[in-house]
Amino acid sequence: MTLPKNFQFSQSSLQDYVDCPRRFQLRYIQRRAWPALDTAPALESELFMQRGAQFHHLVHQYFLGIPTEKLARQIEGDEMLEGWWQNFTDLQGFQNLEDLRARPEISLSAPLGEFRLMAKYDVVALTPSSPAHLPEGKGENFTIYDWKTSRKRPKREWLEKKLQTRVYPYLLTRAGAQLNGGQPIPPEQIEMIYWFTDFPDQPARFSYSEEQFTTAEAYLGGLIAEINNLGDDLAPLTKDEFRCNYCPYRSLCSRGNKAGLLDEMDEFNESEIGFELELDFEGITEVEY
Amino acid sequence: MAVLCVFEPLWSIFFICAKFPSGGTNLTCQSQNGTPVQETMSLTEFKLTASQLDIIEAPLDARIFLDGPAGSGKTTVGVERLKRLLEAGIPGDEILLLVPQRTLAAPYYDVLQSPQAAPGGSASILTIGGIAKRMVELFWPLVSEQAGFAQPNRPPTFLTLETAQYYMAHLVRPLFSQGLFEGITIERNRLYSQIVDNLNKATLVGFAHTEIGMRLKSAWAGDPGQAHIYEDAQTCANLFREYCLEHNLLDFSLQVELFTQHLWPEALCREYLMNQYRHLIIDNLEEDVPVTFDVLKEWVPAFESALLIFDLGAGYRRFLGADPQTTSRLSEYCDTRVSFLNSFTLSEKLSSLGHALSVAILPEQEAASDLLPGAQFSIPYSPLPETRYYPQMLNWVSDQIEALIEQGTPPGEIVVLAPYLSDSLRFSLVERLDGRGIPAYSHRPSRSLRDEPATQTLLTLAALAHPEWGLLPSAFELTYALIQSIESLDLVRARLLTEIVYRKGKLLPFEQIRPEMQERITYKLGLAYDGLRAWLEAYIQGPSEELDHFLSHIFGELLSQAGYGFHSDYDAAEVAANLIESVRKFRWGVGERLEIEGTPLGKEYLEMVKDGVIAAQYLSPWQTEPEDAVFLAPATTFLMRNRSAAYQFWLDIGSRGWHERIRQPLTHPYVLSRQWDLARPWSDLDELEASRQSLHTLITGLVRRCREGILLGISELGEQGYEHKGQLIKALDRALRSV
Repeated sequence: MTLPKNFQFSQSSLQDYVDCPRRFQLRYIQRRAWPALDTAPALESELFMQRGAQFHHLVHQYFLGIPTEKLARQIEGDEMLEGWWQNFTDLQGFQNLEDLRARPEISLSAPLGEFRLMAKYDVVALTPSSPAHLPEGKGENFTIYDWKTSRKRPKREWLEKKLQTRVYPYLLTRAGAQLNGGQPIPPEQIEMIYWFTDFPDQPARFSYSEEQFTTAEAYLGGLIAEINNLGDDLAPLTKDEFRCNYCPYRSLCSRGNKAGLLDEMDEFNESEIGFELELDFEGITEVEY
Repeated sequence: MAVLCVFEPLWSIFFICAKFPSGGTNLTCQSQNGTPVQETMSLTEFKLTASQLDIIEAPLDARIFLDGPAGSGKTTVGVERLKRLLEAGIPGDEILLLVPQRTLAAPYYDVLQSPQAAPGGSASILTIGGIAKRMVELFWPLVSEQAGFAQPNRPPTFLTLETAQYYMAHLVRPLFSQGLFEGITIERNRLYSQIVDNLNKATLVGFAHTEIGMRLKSAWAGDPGQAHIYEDAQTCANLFREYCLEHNLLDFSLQVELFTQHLWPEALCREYLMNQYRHLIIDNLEEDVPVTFDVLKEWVPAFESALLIFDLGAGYRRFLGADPQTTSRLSEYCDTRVSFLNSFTLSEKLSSLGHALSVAILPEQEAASDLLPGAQFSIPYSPLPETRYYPQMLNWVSDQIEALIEQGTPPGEIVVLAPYLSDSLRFSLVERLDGRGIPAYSHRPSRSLRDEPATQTLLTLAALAHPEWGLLPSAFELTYALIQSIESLDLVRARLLTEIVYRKGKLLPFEQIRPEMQERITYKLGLAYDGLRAWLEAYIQGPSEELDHFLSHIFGELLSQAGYGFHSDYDAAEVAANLIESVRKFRWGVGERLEIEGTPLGKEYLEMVKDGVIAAQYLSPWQTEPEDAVFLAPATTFLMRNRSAAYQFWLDIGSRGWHERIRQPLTHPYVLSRQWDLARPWSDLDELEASRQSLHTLITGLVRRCREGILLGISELGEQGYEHKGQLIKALDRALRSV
C-alpha cells in the first residue's frame, strides 16, 4: 500500500483509519471517487452542514475585526444561525479582541515518522492567565477553541477518544513555537475547548500535560507507521457496521445501500464540515472561449 | 538598483546522436553520462552554483528580481530560498508564494509537504485570483454597499465559469430575436463564454468593463457592417454586470475587481494581508496579469523580503491576460536585479536546434537570441510511405516510445505534445501504449463532461425519473443508458429490451415480456433491469429530490451495487462525482432564482447541457500524477507545468494549431491588453506577426524544456484527413536547410 507522495496526515484521515481501515484505503490511497449519499435526507443534511460552515466563517470574520453588527445583518432571517451567533457573542472572554490575541484559522504541521501531520485550528487564543494548576505568572495560556455545531452534545469520554483531541494539542506543542516567541509551548500551558453552539454553557475542556504529549507522540507515530506498513491487500472493514450507514463507500464494500438517517446519526459523523465553493480559475490553462 | 548578469560555466555534457528504430523524424541529442540536471534530482542531490547561493543566502530583508530563460535554475533558487526562510525560523504562515497558476507551484508544495520541512505554520500558495476570492469571502460586509450591490447585507453567491455562462445565456438569449449578433456564425455557448472572457480581461488588464466594445471596435479592420457585434458584446457585458450587482452574484471578474478596487484600498483588508505575509516569493511572474503588477507595486516594498522570478522568452498565457511587458516592471521595485543566462537543461545540440528554429521563425530576432548556434545537430529526415495516414503516425510514435523505454528511458521522461489533444487522439494513443504495457496519462484542463457515457446515462435516468419535466428520453438514449447501467448488458439485448419495455416514457416490468424474449435477454439481466425499473418507479411515487441528490441517491442505492454498471467501473464513478459536483454548484449558483421562477432546477440543468451552456467544458481539478508514466498533453499545458523531459514527441507538426489563434470573433487577447495602441486597427499583418511570435515563444519554450531529443510525428494527412502545412513544418524545413 503506497501513500501518495508527500501525503500529510490530519486528525480526520487518522480518524478514518481508526474507524475503518478500508475507508482510509479507498479515500486516501486509492482516491476513489464514490458519490453516494452519506446521510439522508440529503437536503436537510446539506443545510445543516452549510450552517456549520457559515458559523465558522462568521467567527473567523469576527476575529479579523469586522464589526459584529455588520456580521449579524448577514444572517438575518436564519433563526438557527442567529441563535448560534447570539450564543457566541454572549460568551464571556471574547468581547475584547485586543486582549485576547486570538489567531483564527491557523494551520500547523510537523514531521512525524516519514510523513507530516497537519491541523487547521478554528482559533488559538493566548491569554495572560495561567491554568489553575500552574503557579501564578508561569507563562501564558494557549487555548485551542473548536466550534462544534452538532445537534447533540457528545459525551466527554467520546470526545476524549477522538483523534482531534489528541492531535491538536500535540501539534500545538510540536509546531506552535511561532506563537510563543520562537519557544516551544510547554504542554501544561495548553488547553483544548470544544464549544457547542447549541450548548453554550457546556463546553468540554481538556487540559494537557507532558505525559499526554509523550503518549500522543508514541500513539500517533505508531499509527502512521502502521498505515505505512500496510500491504497491498484490501484493508479490513470496520467491525461496527453502523458506521457503514454513513459511509459513501458502503456499496463498494457490500455493506448496504441506504444512507443513514440524520436523526439517527450519533456524534461520530456530525463533526465533519466539508462545504467549500471552489472556483477553480487557478487551475485553468487553455479553455476555448 | 544593482544589475548583475551571471554567466555560469555549463555542466560538461557529452553528446551523441541517438539512434532510433527506422521511421519518422528525429531531432536528437543525448546526454550519455548521466549529467546532473537540476530539475530531475531531489533538492539535496545537486550542487548549487555560486550565483544561485548568493540569492538563496541573501539577507532576510533582500528584495531581488531574478530573470533568465527556462532551465537556468531560477525555480531551484525559489525553492531553496523558501527552505532558507523556513530554516531561518521565519514562520511558514508569514510566507506568501504567488504563482499565476497552481500547477506551477508543484516544486514548492514538495518542499512544504515534505517530512524534512521544519514544524510550524503553513506558507500560503496563491494566485491573484485566489487572493481576491479569499479577501472577498472574508471582508465582503465591509465593501458590499460601496461596490454597488443591491443587497449588501446578504452574503454573495460565487459563480463558477459554468454558472456565469448560464446567467449570461439567460440574459442574452432573449436578445437574439432583437437582432443582436446578426451576421456572425458561432456556437452560442462560445458566444456566451467570450463575453464572460471580455469581462475577465477588462478586470485583469485594468480597464472599465464599459470600454470593451469601444476597444474591440476601434481595432476592427474588417467589414464596417460587422462592427456592431462589438456594441452587442458591450450591451451583453453591461447587462450581465448589472444583473450580478442586483443579485449579489460574483463572477471571476467581479471578484477580482472587488478586490483591486475596493478591498485592497480598505484599511482592514490591507492591514490583514500586510501583517499576515512578511515574505514573498513569486514564480513565473511573466505569466501573470497586469492587475497583479498594480497590486504588487504597492505591496512589494512592504514585504521584509521578496524574490520575484521571471522567465524570459515566455508568456504562454497571453490569451488569459498574461502580460510579461507589464509585470517585468516590478524589477523597479526591487533592490537587486539578477539575470541568469545559461541553461542547466539544454544541451549544446538542442541549443543549436533551438537557434536554427528560432531564426527560421523570426530571422529578425537572431541577434537577440541567447540560444547558441554552433554544434551540428543531425536530423534524419525520412518520412516513410506508411506515415501517410494519422493512425500510422500514432503507431510510429508508440513504437518509438516502446524503443526508448527498452533502451532505459523511464516513461515519465517522455512527453507527447500536440497543439490540441482531442478525445480521439488521447484514446488512440493511450490504447496503443496500454497494449504495449506502457503507463500513460493525459491532461486536458477542460473536457466535455456531457460527452461522457456516464453523464449521458445519469441524465437519461434523471429524465425518466421526472416525467413532469417533459423531457422523455429517446429509445436510443434509453438503450445507451441501459448498456451503461446494467453490467454485461450488450447492445443487441439492450435494443431488444428497449423496443419491448419502453412505452411513452414508462418502463414495463420484465415479467410482462413474453417468455421467449425473456430467455433471449436472460433472466439475470432481466432481474437487474427490474431492479432499475422498480427503483425508478418507487422514486416517482415519492417527493422529487434536487438533481444532485437524486444522482447520488441512484448511484449509491442502485448503480454502484453489484450487478449494475458502475459497481466496478471506477472511471464512471469519477465522472458521476464530477457531474454531481457540477449540478450542485449550479444549484448553489442559480437555484434561488429558478425557485422564484418556478422552474425545476433539474429540468433546466438538462436543457442547458443539451444546449452546451454547461457541462461542455468541465474544469477538472489537476489530478495526482502517476509516478512514472508517459504524459500526453497540449503543448501549452506541458509548458505550464514548467518541467523538462528527456524526450518530447511533437505530433501534427503540419497543423496550424501550433501557431494560429482559436477563432474568437467577440474577443481579442492582443487588443484587450495594456500593450495595444487604441488608435490602431488590428491588421492581417498584426495577425501574422502575432502568430510568428506565438510560435517562436512556444517552440523555444519546448526546446528549452528538453534534455535529450525531440521526435516529430508527421503524417501527410492530419487527424481530420486533410493535408496541412502550417508554419512549424515550414520553419523546420528552413532549419534543416540551414544545416
